[in-house]
Amino acid sequence: MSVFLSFTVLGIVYGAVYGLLAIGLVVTYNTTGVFNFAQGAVGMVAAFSYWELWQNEHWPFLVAIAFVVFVEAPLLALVVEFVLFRRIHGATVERSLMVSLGLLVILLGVATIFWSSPDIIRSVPPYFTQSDGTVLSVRLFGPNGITLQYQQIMIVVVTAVVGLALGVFLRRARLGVAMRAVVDDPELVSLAGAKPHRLSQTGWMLGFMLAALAGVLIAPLVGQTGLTSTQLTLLALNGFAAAVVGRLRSLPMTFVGALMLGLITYYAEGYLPGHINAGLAAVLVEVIPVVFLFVALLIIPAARLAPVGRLAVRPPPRVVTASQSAAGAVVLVAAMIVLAVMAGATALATLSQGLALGIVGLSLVLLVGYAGQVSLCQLTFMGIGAFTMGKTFGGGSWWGLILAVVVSGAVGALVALPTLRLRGLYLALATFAFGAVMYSAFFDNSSVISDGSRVNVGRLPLPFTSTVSNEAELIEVAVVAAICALLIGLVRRSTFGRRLVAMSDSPAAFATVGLSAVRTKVIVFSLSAAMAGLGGVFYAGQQGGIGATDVQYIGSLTLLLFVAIWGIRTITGALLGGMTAAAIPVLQTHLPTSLADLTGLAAGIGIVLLARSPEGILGMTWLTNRVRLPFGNEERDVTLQGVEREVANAA
Amino acid sequence: MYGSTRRAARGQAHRALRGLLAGSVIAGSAVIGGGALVTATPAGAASSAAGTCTPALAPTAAQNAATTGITPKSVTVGNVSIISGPVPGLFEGAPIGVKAYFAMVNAHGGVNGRKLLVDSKDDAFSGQQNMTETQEAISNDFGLVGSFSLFDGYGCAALASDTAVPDVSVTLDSGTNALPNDFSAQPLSGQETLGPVSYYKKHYPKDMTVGAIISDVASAETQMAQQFAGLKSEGYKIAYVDDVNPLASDFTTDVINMKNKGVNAVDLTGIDWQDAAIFVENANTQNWHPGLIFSGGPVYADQFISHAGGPAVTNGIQIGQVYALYLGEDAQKVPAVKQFDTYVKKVNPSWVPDLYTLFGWASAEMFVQALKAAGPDPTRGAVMAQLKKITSFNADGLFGGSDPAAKKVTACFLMAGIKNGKFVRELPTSGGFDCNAKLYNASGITG
Repeated sequence: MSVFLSFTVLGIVYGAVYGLLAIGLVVTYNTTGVFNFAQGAVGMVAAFSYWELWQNEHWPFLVAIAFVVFVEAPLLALVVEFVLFRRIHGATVERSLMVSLGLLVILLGVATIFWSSPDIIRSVPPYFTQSDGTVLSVRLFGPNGITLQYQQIMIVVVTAVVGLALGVFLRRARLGVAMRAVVDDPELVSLAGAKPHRLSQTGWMLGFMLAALAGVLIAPLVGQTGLTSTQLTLLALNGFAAAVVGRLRSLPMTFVGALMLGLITYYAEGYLPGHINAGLAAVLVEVIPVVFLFVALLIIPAARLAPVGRLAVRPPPRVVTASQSAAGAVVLVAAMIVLAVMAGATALATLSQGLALGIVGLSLVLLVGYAGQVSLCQLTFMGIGAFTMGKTFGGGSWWGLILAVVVSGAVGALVALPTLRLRGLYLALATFAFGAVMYSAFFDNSSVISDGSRVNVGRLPLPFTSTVSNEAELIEVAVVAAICALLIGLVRRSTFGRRLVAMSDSPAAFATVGLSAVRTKVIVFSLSAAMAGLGGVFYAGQQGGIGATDVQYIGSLTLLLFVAIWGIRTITGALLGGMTAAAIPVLQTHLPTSLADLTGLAAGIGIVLLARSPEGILGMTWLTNRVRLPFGNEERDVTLQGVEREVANAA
Repeated sequence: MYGSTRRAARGQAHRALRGLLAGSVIAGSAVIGGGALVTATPAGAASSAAGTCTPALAPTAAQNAATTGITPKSVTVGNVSIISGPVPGLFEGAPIGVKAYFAMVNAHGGVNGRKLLVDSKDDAFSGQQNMTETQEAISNDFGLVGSFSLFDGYGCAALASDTAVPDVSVTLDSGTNALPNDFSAQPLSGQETLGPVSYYKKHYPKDMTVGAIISDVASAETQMAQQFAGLKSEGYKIAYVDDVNPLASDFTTDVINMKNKGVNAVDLTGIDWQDAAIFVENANTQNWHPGLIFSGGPVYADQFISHAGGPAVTNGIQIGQVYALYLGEDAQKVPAVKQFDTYVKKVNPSWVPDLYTLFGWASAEMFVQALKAAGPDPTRGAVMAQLKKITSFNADGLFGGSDPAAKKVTACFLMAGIKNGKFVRELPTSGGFDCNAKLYNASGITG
């Protein structure tokens, strides 16, 4: 029995850790309307700052904590709010997700610059340590029971007190109510004499302070043998599940969700080893938080998953004409034929990978750009396609290609079915959870693909030749990308395309006029997944195989980020997004170390651009006015000048 | 041996976020402008991949005669290791070790008047990048020396396409290990010395119920399966095994379970020093003091003792390994240790040598041995021919010994323990290694 009690106590302690992270997420969401993917990264920067001030600069540790939580975090929040989030108030889910994801990238970049030297181990000693190194603790359940450190008890108490205090503040205090109100309707709040910007700033400061508090409290638990920037950032993902249990609104329920997660995790960690295969036990424990998240999203009544703030509405994407599509496809293939002749072998490989990722990007245009269904698991579909190709019909055949597309599409439909009632942020989180589960339980499972290894995937065979050269492969993938682009244009012009846009615009109206959202959603998910699987076949074929590193779940977010930066509703944007994703790491390895943090820089620039233009770079007025893009300038220019020009053209 | 890849396992878990930073999560194309040749892949057939890459036919005369990377004044070799990524500097020791050995050789005039240079390449924790960088190294450098990566299986295809290119590196990948042009100071032989296990049985006869923590990484799991076979052959009972979650930063559940199952011997060979330190600290916090805690090389690390809670907590921990005490304890008994530490310090004054630095150094030594023997006008084929003649190699006493040409290890080992907060050699006390043990593999004693 004492073993059970021991695991229970430990589960509560770590549940409190998740709770602290989740409370910050919930408070930020309720006071700013943004689900901040960078919450963990803010905590990570705070933890490193705490280490820097305390261990490196030898500040008294309480002063270091106070500085990090009450000075650094609020100042950082003010900068972030002004530079990034003020511009996207009321934006679509994918835009706000992308900006917070970009912030995460920037903060990781900051950590890389300041705290990545391998010569130093940044260890954070436990709280309540005596001068002789003894960590103060209390023994429970007798001599054979467990010992709890004071710092673990402190985390439980702080989480409970902070959660309670914030709950009262947001419900009872005038400022708290105003902070929630400004998310719903800033104009109305300003009519009441309040200043929406100030309230929003306060919300961000509060969210960042909570993240910083979590960071400095958790640092000794995870940083005993050295803090790593990724560990704290990833830990926050476990808070997602708890936050969803609280429907992103209720702090008490968030706390309950966190405790449940902590208990389930610790019972699994405690009881599974020895009863089932150790490797399987490790996988199961690893996927618990994301499975918990997925299940929570599926069982919470849809009505309780209402988003905060207003529903963002934007004009439908412009219809690309058949001639524009055809011209774009010809230009794409012709350009790749020229490049195949001119480019070196390594550049050829980059172009092929970029186009393959571009095909995956096109699947996002269909799903996110047109249908408004945010998916954060496209690389999972890509991996399924590649895996199917590699495992069937000899590893590289036309039959394998067909099967890869069919299997990916079928899995897409399977994902769509349970998530039919979800949309916006909740759908995004559900697909994120699916991607994470598939990554941990399938692609990163050594019984499926050995660690550091991959499944062999051959290139698609061509007639009259026994080998597919790099040049031929580039042209091959260019032709397939062009066909996919034509297909996207065809869909957009079809009745089904208009249905997608209608469903994105107003699901309620869509259903009211008798259209089946269920069928439309399943079809578009399936089509999109099939296309992503097709991209995966060529991606893996280029490099000879597919492994876990190629299909990481965070990678789906990165690809979406790149496509969104160029323009999520444009064919050109999807292809450029794929190319960008392929090119950046290649360029990065050839930069001097001092400039190696290129991705962080690029993401920062991308975010600023995205914040300025709702439709990404390709939707910017100055560009659409000057440049004629392949596949047409699909984005509608929604500025006054743009509308005037359109009216004039129509006249 | 590879328990220290646990740290890499943590990295594997975190590579997702690293991908955001480096972008390679979703990319992975070859390098622009590098001039590398990407091999055309046969249509309808999968190209080479980790663990399964198949060498091309015997090298052509032109391939054997190649002198890529050699000038009248220098010999440049490539090194492809994980330098950046989720755990920055993960295997940075590998190129540092090669540079240190080359610095020593260069200080004495180089090889036949040629200075030795290292073209250090970073695969950035990416399989695709490993393949690309390996291809580039083959195109531009004489061979590969001292590379160390979790993703060397991706580079295997490139190495297999030209088997005249010498790769003198410790590999984790069975496919690469099997290539005729791969020569490792510590080959993957599937065998291990039974020496440490016999030593524990002799000195801790009452502590025969084993609990083990294993990193969720294939190399660690394979090694531990082998280790369990050795333990069982000596009559040990494996009572508790846990594959650790890459995000684990606390092993209190394992401590409680081991305590509950009557474990009195804890095997920490399958995890790195950081996790071993946390485990030992957790056990101490829970006031659990098993009779025996032992590990292979991973806990032999500069910071292990301080991070595990200091001398009082770590005293008595046993270490059985096939390397000399290269952090300096063996400096008086093994001259190569002193040279190793001196030149590593010269190359990078702030670097604390680790196992990968040692691998880099030993690989460089083996390469130089072959290069010298190949004469004043070395070609790839000539160096390869000399490498095939190295049937016994111990890096001047830094290693227990191996037969790189036949890809076999020896039974030589040494025992050390932590006493008063320091690593102290216990067997053989005079220096060197005990080579009287048996070898075993996962199915039992083999020799």
